[in-house]
Amino acid sequence: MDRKDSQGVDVHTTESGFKYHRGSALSIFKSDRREDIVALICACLIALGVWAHVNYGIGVFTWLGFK
Amino acid sequence: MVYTKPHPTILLIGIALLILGYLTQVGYLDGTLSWLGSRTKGEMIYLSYAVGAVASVLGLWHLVGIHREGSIDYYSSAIGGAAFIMLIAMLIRWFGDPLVAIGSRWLGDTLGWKFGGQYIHGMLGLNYIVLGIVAGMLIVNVFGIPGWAQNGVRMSRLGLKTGVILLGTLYFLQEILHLGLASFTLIGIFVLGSVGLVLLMCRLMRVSNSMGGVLSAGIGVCGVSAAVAAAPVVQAKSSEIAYTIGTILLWGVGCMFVFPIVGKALGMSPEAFGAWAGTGILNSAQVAGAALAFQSDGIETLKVAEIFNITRILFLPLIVVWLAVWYVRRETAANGAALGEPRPHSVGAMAAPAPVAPPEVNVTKVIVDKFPLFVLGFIFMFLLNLTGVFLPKGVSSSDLWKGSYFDNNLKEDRLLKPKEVAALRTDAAKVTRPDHKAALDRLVANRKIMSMADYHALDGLSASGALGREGKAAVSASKRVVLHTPRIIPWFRDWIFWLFAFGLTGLGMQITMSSLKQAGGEPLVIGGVIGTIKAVGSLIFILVFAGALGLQAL
Repeated sequence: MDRKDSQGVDVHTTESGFKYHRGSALSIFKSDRREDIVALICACLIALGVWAHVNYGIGVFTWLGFK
Repeated sequence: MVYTKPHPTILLIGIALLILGYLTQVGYLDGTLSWLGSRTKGEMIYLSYAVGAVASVLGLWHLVGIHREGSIDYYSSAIGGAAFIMLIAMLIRWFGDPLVAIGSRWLGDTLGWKFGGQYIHGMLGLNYIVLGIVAGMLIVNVFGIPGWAQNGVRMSRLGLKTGVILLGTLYFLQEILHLGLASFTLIGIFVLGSVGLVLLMCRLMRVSNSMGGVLSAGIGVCGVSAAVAAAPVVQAKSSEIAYTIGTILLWGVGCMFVFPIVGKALGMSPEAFGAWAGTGILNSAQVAGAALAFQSDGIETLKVAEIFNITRILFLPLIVVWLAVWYVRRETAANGAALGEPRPHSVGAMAAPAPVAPPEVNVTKVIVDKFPLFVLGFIFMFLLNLTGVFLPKGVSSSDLWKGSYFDNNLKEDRLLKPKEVAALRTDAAKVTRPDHKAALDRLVANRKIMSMADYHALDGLSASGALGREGKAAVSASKRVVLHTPRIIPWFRDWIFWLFAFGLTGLGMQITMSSLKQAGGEPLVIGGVIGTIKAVGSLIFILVFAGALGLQAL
């Protein structure tokens, strides 16, 4: 394992026999950094969605009838 | 390799949730929800519809679509596991949690199974968060995760990180300033102290430098992320990282269940418990789990715990630099000593390696590459919140007081009643402090509080004891109606709760016996000793010095 690859630690492989060709047992992403970036994007999208819903009534929940 | 495993279960989960949403909406489940004492009807409708619709569409596509090797296949294959986690989390929150509470109350009332006046579920903190983790652990260790859900279970950490980033929207400047001194003091003492103690213990037990380095970061800072960040600096082997992760997981899982029980037994306040969990528990995910186990119906404990946890992560660059200097010194000294005599080694798997040249590691690069970006995301959200973008029009963050803003545009029925005004007029003669008297005069004249400054002055007046019982009640009533929670806050709170519920249920599904068994030998002994010192030491410190740190202990 490349010791600089933070996601190279696969703690489940020995038990389940499931091989992770991408990511690791802990994460679907190739690296912690990529996971952090996706989390940041998700958080920004959620914040934008909530802001648009609360202030302008835009969004799926408004369509479903939730105020 | 094609990751998508066509299976009807995802589609069935989607359809089941749509039916659940519909039945709840038309009132078919009203009797059941009433018996369960549930107050989550609205949430059940919209969340069942939302998750059910996504799972149905993607489940159908999984089943009948053509899947080719590539990133789209890889990431979309995670939907099955994500839907599986959500289903478990939803069922536990809406049905499992109330059922456990009913059963626990029945045991307490009929068989007298109460401890210290508390029902079992209250004492053990058996809320939907803890039950979700336990359910996840049971599923993975008893039944195993089905193949179609394997990939998605690994999405749980993404949910936790997204939740932490979004949590930044719920903090206000006063809270950060209030908790800043306490968090930096506690974290400074216990992070640096535990790193130093682990290094000392490793030296005394003759554990290899690389093992000591990676274990000290894991035990001292923030668990798995810190261990991984420190690994290249101390040239740790993959087996040493695995031992550290096993130790952290074993210890963290234990703490996640024990901390809330101890906190409740001691009657700790949400603030004090949050500070303790954020300091004493090793891994970020378990910190959130313990905080939500302690208080699942509010977010106060989680907010304090995460501030401490993030402060701890902010210490990571300092620890990496420390370990780099320490490792180079130790290796240089060991290489010098090894020239004439054989080097002592430890027993078992952690035998000290043969002398090697001190590593050439670019510490700055390691910090830049490994520093958890989601912490910066949290800070970004907090700063965004400070700009007032999430507040109603005309309200700025400086208008906020404990997360609420001042607005005294009130309808007639919310103004003070003549009887209340009369009580205040009677009390006014006893008020001597000029600012208190001026604020009270304005309240009497306008029948409502006129400014935030008046709000604080009346707060002080109420606490001073100068008002009679009726006058005090009138001031309380007038305070209640002028402070408002921004409408956006409950939405963020709900999102955060569900992201954490998703992440922690999924985390339970990752806690396998084999991953816990990876802990062992000297790392487990060192981790256990230092982890206990850290947990007990921080508890005593908080209970003794809470007042000096500006925290409410009990």
